[in-house]
Amino acid sequence: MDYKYVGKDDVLYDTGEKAGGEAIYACDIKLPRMLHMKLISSPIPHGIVKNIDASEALALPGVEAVLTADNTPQTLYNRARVRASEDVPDQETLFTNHVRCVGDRIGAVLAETLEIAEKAVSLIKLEIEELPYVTSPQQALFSDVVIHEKDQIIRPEGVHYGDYEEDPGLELVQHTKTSRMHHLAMENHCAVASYKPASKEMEIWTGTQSNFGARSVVATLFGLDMHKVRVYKTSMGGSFGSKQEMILEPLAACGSIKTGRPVKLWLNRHEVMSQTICRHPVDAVLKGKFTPDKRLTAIDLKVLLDAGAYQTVTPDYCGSMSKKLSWVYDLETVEYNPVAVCTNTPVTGSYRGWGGPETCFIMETFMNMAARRFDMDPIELRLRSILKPYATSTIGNFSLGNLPLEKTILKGKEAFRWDERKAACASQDRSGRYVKGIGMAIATHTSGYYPRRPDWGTVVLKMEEDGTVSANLNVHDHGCGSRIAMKKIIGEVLSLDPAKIAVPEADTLYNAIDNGCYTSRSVYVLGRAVQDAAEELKSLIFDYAAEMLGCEKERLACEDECVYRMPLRTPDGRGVTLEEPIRLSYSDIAYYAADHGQGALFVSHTYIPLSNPGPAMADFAEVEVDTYTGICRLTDYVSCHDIGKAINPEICKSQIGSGVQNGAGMVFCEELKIDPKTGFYTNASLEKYHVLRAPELPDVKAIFVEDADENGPFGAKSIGEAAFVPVAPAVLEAVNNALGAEFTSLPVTPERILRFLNGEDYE
Amino acid sequence: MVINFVLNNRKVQIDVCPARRLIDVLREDFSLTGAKESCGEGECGACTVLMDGEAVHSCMVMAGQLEGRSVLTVEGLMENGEFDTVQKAFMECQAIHCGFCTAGMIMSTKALLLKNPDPSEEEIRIGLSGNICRCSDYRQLVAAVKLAAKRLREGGLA
Ligand code: FES
Repeated sequence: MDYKYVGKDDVLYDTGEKAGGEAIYACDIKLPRMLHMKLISSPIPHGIVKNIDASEALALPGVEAVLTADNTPQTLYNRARVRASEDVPDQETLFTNHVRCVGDRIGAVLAETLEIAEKAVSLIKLEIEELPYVTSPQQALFSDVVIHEKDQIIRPEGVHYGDYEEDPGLELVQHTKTSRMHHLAMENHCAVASYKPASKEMEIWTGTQSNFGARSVVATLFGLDMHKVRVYKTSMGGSFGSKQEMILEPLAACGSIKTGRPVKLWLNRHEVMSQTICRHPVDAVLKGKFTPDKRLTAIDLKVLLDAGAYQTVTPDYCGSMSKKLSWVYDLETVEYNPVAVCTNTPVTGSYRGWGGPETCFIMETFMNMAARRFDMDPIELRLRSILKPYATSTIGNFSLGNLPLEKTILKGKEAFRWDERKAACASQDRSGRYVKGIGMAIATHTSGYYPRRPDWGTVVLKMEEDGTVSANLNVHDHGCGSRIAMKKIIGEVLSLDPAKIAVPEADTLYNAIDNGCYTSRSVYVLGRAVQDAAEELKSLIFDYAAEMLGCEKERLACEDECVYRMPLRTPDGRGVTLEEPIRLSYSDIAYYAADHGQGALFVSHTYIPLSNPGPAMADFAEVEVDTYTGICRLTDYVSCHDIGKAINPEICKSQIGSGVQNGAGMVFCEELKIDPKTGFYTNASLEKYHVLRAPELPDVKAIFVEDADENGPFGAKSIGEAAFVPVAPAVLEAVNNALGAEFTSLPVTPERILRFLNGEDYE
Repeated sequence: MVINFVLNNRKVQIDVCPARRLIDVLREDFSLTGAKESCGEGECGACTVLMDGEAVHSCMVMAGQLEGRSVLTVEGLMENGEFDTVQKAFMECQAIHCGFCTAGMIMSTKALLLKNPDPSEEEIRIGLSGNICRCSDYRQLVAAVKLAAKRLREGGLA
């Protein structure tokens, strides 16, 4: 269906402030009397702080205070707890004397400038008793090192349906490993907190994915009234999951409460890499069984996740991985046993896709291996096992929606010219320097929380006297256009130019409580709430218009920011009478509503989703390997994505491009390397942590399948996380296909490729 | 140390430590927050500004190097409330997402087009290789540079 604004790229909103350098990110905020905070971090992986001598630091002019575990609350909390009622393990304190990894927070200095704070930190003398430590989960499982008294190792429930042992199928087994990764949102984490002791009011500016989560953690830790804690979501320079946990907000808040002055905590890149979160390294052993006609029917998956020094989200992450197991293949049996283990390494946590990319990597690398074993086309193998449209998820027992997996695969296959390229790869001259290979992977993802946790979207819309519209909802734009999407949805319903609609970022004072920007729910849940609210506002506008025009509401229609009284139908219903249409502008109606004292043009609406369609994806990669250097280059990429309806098509394509950058990087180079001797990274800087840049990426071809979902706004499903999910296994398979290798752990560095080419052990 | 230089086409004077980084001079001393700091070591390009028409990482330039130079930041591009050609091209090609890399990308593009008004796709990609954008595969950025180049060649506002 063709719409006026939805699905159109020709109108631009919002980006002017970014093009002009005017957009305000948390790091741009400067408040009167503001102090700068610098963290005092552990230099060793495990130990007990015996003494902190801060005398020299405190003597430095411009230093306001030094915070440590001894003068700040020691309440245990979990940085990922979005609401105080959530049951998650509490292991963390603001500052600690029991340091559990390099970078663990011992304290902080507050000073007039960042330079002074940095200097003061260098003057602090720490006396730390070293403790034995473990740097890998494999080691941690069999060690008596005590990192936490409680929950050091958690074995979440997992999934158990069917009887794997009883399945008579042909079994294949594979061991895969994915590595620690840095999100590399270009904006480093920053929070600014301002506490006013007289009024006991706290204001916080942060680029967060959940400002209610930030409010909850801060209010709970410091015993503040929630209505007096106001968290503003600022412009955000990307997140990819890195800003969905409440890491800096409680620290800045603590500094502000302690000093009665505003406090800014802005990490540098090294600190973001080592003191926020990174992606979990996952070690997985997957066994799967196939029927004689090569249908996958049963899997048994054991995964080991390195939580780093604190469990934070890791047990939940295991649960999230499990759900994604039953959303692609029609499995009769799933046996899934995860283990989440703490080690003396930097904390791992939320990362784009929340287990989806991990599960997909495990499953799809397995399917690609199976296709090789069975000497089958990997697409053909998949088509035998995929779920059909409107399949029910065995886990959670809900419909996956129209789920056009087959259609998506076939459309992508054609666009990639799979058969042609496959033949070309098979017949290529392998004696030359460069070899090419192709690979593919499929996936699905979520569009919201349903039915895992109660979800809703609450929206307030009002029309101003000039006919423009303002919205109030808890939207957290990561820079991927969710606010633009909301404007287009409202604009479409009201036939109003989206440039005349305000959709500000989340603000706890005015928004109704919300689950935050998690599980790619923004457009599917909040977007639908916005659509329904716009319909309600339209109905209200029509009430007034009907009164003004003295006609039935049913005769009204809106177009181009006006309400029209449509001509009456002739009695036979075929033609129309000769009466001229009458037009009222939105502004006329808004003034009428205000002037006649009948109340404002204002609606509030709550939408409760009872569906959660899985967007289907099929990705296809072509890689060229330089057999002299071992360097791989992604030479072509097609991603076919069932999006229901692309509301901002070009931005959706960009999301897919970003997923490919990140996923191909995951295969070729992106890895935070831990030195087992120090428990710390050897490459915590952008000089040493490599990502794919402009010359190393092809133009990604993003293709959409737009079969509308029944409940999404204008049919839309999710995209943000989904775009990243199938990339790595597709790219890895292209490398394996080029070389005739079977790499199963990431990243596949040039060194490993050369080892393979030299006939050495490469895993 | 007193330093005189031109900032966004206006003469300015500051009294700072010569080792102060240009990014801090811009963001802290002049409240020009368009240039962003991300890596602090000249790897990501988010802090790129023009110095005498050359793209520099403002986190790697010291205040002491500024004497007599001319610095242009993203805030200095608009004229009479109008975006310049590169800014417009970035907006039209939807090359702006989270926006954190944008100022650096725009300034790198300006430097590239000053040197090479008709860059090939490969030259554009190499020209942008010092700037990281994590929100895309660079396709829209490359398109924006191409569009800006075309318009500038046709006589648009530099
Ligand atoms: S737009 Fe986000 S990093 Fe480029």
